[in-house]
Amino acid sequence: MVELRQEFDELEESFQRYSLLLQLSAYAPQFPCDFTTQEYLFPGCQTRVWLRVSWVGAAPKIEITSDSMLLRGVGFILMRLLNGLPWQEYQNLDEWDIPAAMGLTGMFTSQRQQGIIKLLKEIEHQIQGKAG
Amino acid sequence: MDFDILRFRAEFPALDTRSNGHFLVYLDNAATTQIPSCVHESIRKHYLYDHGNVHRGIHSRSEQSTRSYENARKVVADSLGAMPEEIIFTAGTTDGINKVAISVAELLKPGDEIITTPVEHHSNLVPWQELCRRTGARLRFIRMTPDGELDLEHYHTLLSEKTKLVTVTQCSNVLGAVYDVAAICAAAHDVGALVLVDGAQGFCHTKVDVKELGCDFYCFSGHKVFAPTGIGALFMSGACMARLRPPFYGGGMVDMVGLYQSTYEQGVLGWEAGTPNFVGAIALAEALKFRDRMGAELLCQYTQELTQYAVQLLSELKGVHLLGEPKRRTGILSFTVDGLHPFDIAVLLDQRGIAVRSGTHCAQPLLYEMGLNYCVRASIAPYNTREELQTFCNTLKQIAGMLGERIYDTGRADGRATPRV
Repeated sequence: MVELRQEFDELEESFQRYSLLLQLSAYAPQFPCDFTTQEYLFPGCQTRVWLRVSWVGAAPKIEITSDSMLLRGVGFILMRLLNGLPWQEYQNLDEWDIPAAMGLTGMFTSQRQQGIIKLLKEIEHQIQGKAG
Repeated sequence: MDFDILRFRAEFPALDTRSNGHFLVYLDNAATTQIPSCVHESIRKHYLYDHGNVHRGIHSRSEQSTRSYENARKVVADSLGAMPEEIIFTAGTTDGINKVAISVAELLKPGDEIITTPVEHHSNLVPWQELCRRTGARLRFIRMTPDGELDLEHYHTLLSEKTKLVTVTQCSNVLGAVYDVAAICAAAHDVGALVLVDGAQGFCHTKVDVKELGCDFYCFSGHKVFAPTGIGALFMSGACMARLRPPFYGGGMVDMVGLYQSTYEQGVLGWEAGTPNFVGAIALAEALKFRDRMGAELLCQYTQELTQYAVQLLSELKGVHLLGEPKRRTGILSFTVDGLHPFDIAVLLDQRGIAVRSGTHCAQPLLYEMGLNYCVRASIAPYNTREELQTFCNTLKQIAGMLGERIYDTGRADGRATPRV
């Protein structure tokens, strides 16, 4: 994650950062896929995001995709950041400045950043719910 | 055409700024236009030197404000071919439509019908849905043709003695189609229905004469015609004003007030409860005078030419699909690009200094009817240039290529990717 953050920081022109995000989108589940259904749809305004949370052994597995390539890139970064974390650590998610940690500050409007934060809260909520 | 575009652009300081390191190409004019220096100056001058609340006051500043406000009403009336006593200042088109929707409620009974279209902005749909819910009236919709025109033959089949109101946009905020509102008004009046015209996009791109249109209500917003946000106007025919009761009550619109009942001002003042946005009205008048000085019809003609040029440029781009093919389109071009999300396109255009809008454009029923969830909208004002449109289309082509091609380095196991820019 630190490497990815550095890679974003090294790019001086914002357009290059978006270009990187587009490239990263290739690593996210492609749209459409088996969970781009109403059941996993995360409500949004201009774009559609699907979120599926499951468990692999003792660790949560998060899958995110979108009809927007840029948001698939964001989804990939979130999956990189969160998958493999012990579920107890998700309880501290609120305290994280996730967009900054992801190197995305300034790349999206405040409304979009709020959307990312809402998505994180939903992930935390689902994991806590499934963890009992 | 004798139009000095450079002189016109020079009036708008915002156009000489940079956005994300690039010269701003502002193509979101259907959302709001930029403000010329003279309009900004009129606001500054008023607040600094002439400010006092309108009406009722006996001191000079109040008198000055009142005079400026009522002069503004005359300027707006002139721009619509109306009389000042037919112009109610509003917060904008949405506010004007809602005022009418509240006031006509007492004319409706269950079973009555309101005719509108599927191309309307939510602002000219949702208030009528609510009105129907409250009164038991029913909404009917004029069919849209695949080109984005209104099917007027179908419209005539909808009209009946049940029709109490027809409400229609003059120009679609998604398709840019300009509709034959005069014909719609005439047919509605034949069955005794009132007609409201949503002029939010029409007023800025066409010469409007409400008497020629034959409408009973006409609403527009100042911020789409070089004025600030929060000000607009509602034309209401004298006959309607005499027949309808105002939607809001309070200070400013009363004549005599008692503990249990009150009487109200006659005419437009009875429709403007509370302190009006008179500084906004003064600025709106300045914007309209500015437009007249520059040649209102010339600006419309120039925008029309730019629109045709933009249609030509976009039509030449592979994979780009313009929405609608109306007989008359002005100022607005909405489109999709094969396989690409409008949000991604708009974000990346913004990174090149080009401001467009993506989403549903407050017209979800229209987009659904066209089988779409979202689209990109570029909207033109008379300060735009052919060169800007070329920049926009060239950049769109680059972005479409970048998004469309498979540029990913998927072979790297660590997920790091090397940017290709």
